[in-house]
Amino acid sequence: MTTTSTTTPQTTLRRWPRRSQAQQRSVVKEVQLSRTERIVLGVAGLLLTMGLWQMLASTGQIDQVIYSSPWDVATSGKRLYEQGKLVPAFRSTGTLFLVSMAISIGVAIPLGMIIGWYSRVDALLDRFLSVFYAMPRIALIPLIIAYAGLGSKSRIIIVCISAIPPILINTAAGVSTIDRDHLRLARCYLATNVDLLRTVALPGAIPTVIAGIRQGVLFGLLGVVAAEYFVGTTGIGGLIFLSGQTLHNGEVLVGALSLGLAAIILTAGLRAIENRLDRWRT
Amino acid sequence: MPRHNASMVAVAAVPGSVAPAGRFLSVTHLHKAYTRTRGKAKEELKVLDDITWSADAREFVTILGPSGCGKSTLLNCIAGLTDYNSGSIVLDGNGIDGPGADRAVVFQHASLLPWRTVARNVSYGLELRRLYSKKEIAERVEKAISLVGLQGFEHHYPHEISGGMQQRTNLARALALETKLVLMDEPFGALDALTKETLQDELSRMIDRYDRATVFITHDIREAIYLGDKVLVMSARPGRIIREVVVPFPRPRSRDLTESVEFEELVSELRMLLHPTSAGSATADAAMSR
Repeated sequence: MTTTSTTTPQTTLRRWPRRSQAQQRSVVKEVQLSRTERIVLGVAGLLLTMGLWQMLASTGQIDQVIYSSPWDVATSGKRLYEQGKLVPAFRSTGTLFLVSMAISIGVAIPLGMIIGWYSRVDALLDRFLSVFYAMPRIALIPLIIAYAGLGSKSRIIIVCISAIPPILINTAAGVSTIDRDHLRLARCYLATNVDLLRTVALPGAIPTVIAGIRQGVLFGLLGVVAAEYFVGTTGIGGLIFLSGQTLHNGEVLVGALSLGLAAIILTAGLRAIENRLDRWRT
Repeated sequence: MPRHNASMVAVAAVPGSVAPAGRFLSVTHLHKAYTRTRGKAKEELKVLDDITWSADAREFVTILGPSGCGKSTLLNCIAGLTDYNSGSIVLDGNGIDGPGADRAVVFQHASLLPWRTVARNVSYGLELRRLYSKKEIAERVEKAISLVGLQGFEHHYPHEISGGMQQRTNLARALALETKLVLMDEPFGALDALTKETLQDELSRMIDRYDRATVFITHDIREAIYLGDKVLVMSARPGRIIREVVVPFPRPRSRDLTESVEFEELVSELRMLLHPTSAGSATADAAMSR
């Protein structure tokens, strides 16, 4: 183990204490973990938490009805699966999510491109979009129900209004930011405005757009749960809501954890796509 | 303007003399000033002051001047990227009032599009011309890439190659267009000394084989002489052309030339023009030649 210079005695009043080179290096040195070490520690952390939780629940230190326990979650998951509730709930939630995300991306990217490219459109919509982006859009659910009723149409709208703003705003920002050197290059080589959009603005915007989609996916999942809670109690969100009302907290956690897992898988998938499209960056 | 003779004695061009008609590129009485508003007062900043010179169709003209003398602005005017207040720039009989298909620019920073490979960066200008088939573009790109010695790196992305190779790509992109005039804005300014010399040597060989006019901006005296048929020396702001020097050394030139007494004499003559106060001092030597 290397010792850091925190043990340097503070005896002198010099403003800039002189350190030997070796000491300086030890200050900035980062601890480098190997891949396996990271995985082992990660799993250990998980097991430790679960073990502690299970122990507290088993010994009655915490109330199992309220706090559940890992074992309770596992058996709840098994029970829900055997009752044939889990798979249809997943299918329903998955369909809602995918349909809504497809609509959101299909709407937000072209609109974001228009806003990013035409500064007049940007100026026109800027205030409205800022408010819409900043507000908790779930607050609009009563209006949406009043407009579209208690069916899948309302659920889709709720997910879309959650996911569209981050994708839209990131796309617009990506398209509107053009490197000055690239602008000069394009003008010199006689690029038309359409060329500039096609060959400079859009390719340059890809990283920002994907970052926006990743944000949109997370907001979309929030929207999915909210939609299923408040509109018709369907899918995983509905399952969580109903289990909570009957104090089956193990089942609540089954729902929450599976959504978390879905979020992790989706984010990892998007990162893989990003790496493919982004080979040109270091 | 007096006819230049190829003696060691540099021939001065009197600023303000009218460029002879019928030259390939002629810049005549060019003035440019920026107006800055400071509070209510308007301040005029003269950048180019009565610039007049001309070049032949195969001439390599280097424009030498201290930083901030307006030499890049002059190049931008010829490229059609910047307006000027008065005067005229005529290229092959046509006045310049915007970017055109008859010119190509090599930028100071490589300005490569990072999402395009080397080959696709080189083809960029050709694609935008919309005049050539895919096959034609591919042939021209291949030719330009071999000209600058980038074979084998066609499918690399800019971040995967060195600064010198990025500048080669920048050069190839301009050369692929096969324009009659190429404008180069200190293309080797940011490179390390060794890479810079290599690229100068290669560019010098290209000039011998290529049939086009070039305007090359630099603040490096040796570079200006080594590459140029003619050196235009500019003063600090407001930029004026204080001397027009015909470089007397025949082509093809080699690196050995830069070791010769005649070369050194011309270098110190130009240094005296740029640095009248510190001429001859060793420190100025080192500062200006790198």
